[in-house]
Amino acid sequence: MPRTGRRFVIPALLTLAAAVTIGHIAWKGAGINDWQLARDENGIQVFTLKTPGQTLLKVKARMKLATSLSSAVALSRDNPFGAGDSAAEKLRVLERIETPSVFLSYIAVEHQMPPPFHTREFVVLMNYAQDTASKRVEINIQAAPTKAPPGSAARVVHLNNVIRLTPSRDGQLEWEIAVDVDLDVPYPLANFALPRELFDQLNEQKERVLAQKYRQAQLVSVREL
Amino acid sequence: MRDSSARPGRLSRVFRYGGLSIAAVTFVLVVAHLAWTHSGNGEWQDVSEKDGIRIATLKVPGEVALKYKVNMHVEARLSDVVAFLSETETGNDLGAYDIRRIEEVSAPPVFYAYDTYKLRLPAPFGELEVVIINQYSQDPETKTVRVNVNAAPNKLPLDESIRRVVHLSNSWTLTPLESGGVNMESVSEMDLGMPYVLANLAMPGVIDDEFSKIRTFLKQDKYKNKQPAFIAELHDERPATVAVTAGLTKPD
Repeated sequence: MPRTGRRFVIPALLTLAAAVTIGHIAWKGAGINDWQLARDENGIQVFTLKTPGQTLLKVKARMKLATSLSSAVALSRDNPFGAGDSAAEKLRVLERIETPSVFLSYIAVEHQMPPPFHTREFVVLMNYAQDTASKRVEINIQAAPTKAPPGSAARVVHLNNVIRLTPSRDGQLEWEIAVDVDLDVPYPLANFALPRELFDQLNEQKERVLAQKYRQAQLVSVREL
Repeated sequence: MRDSSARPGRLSRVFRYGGLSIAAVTFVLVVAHLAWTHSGNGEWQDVSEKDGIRIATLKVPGEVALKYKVNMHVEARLSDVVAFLSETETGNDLGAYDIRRIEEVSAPPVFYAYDTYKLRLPAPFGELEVVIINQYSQDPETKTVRVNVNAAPNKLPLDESIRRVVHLSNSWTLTPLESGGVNMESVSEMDLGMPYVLANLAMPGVIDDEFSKIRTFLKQDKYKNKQPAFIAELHDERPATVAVTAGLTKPD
């Protein structure tokens, strides 16, 4: 490399490294640890939460829908990550218990990522115990990576999503999904994509819940209001 | 007039060689990180066996942290071992503090509980807050108990003053033997926020210490004659929990 080129390349690389480092530190320290409305469209509100000290955003989306609680719970159990129906069909149930007062299930499902990222595998514990007074159902989803031997796809180890389904007397159901996941992609990309992804997922759930098998769903562990 | 043929100043040389050194170290670290990340064969490798505590590690290509499997036999009742693993009071003896049960669901055949506790790591890593769900089930035939412990960081509002663990998973298999005692197997993985090189080097020793403590504690009177819900001993007539059930979903 010519001497003049070397004189500029190294300072330029160092400057870039310094800028990236400062940007990372500034972003990591930023945030007010409170939910901020990021999008309000088509009856769906999307919120993001930036916690100081963390680089990944938490995201939640909320909507109201005229559907039964059992329909929403059944769909959420079949399709907890809002993936397409073909992905939901590949969902493997590792263990499952359902009684009138509790539901608990370990599931494994693969999640196709856009190039250049490889497929991720979710192995999670999904559980709820319906509130007997309000009939609210809070489905907790926790990464349980040691529940099954490692497979060929990279397994997600940081995931704690919550699906809150709150019925009301007017027949409307408040449907909220809160997502806290690390898919092991660069955080600027994840923070850009996740709010959009969650909006699309909730928008699609509106249609999926109309399928006959969900409209007619009756679950041992869920009672309507 | 400036003499362009003059030798670079001292500051200029410091910047040049300093920059080159930083770039070289960064390059070496990046190459080593990539090599480690992609290494591994996905097979368990024995790393130590001391006083009947066998530790194996597993390196999965694409991941930086090791997974750990521990096997140990204890001369104790199955119920005592389950109680030791599931009661919040035990944590105090293992170095945890501010231990609290957040929620408990006990509805046969299901038992799970959300617990929180804090840990103090060696300097400079400070305190950690852990929020977990632990769930257990028992095979009605073999009486083998499985205890699954997983991080549930969003079960409590975040406390900004302390770091919370987001990656922790531990699956225990407790097998009672006809000859007496219980074979314990633990498969675990976690990220406590330490550099992975340090964690991978330190964890086998830490695990060995913790399992030695478990065996010692189980000999103490305060951990004997426990009776956790739904746990039956090998020849106990009480019904055990069912680990896997067919779906009880109402037919359409």
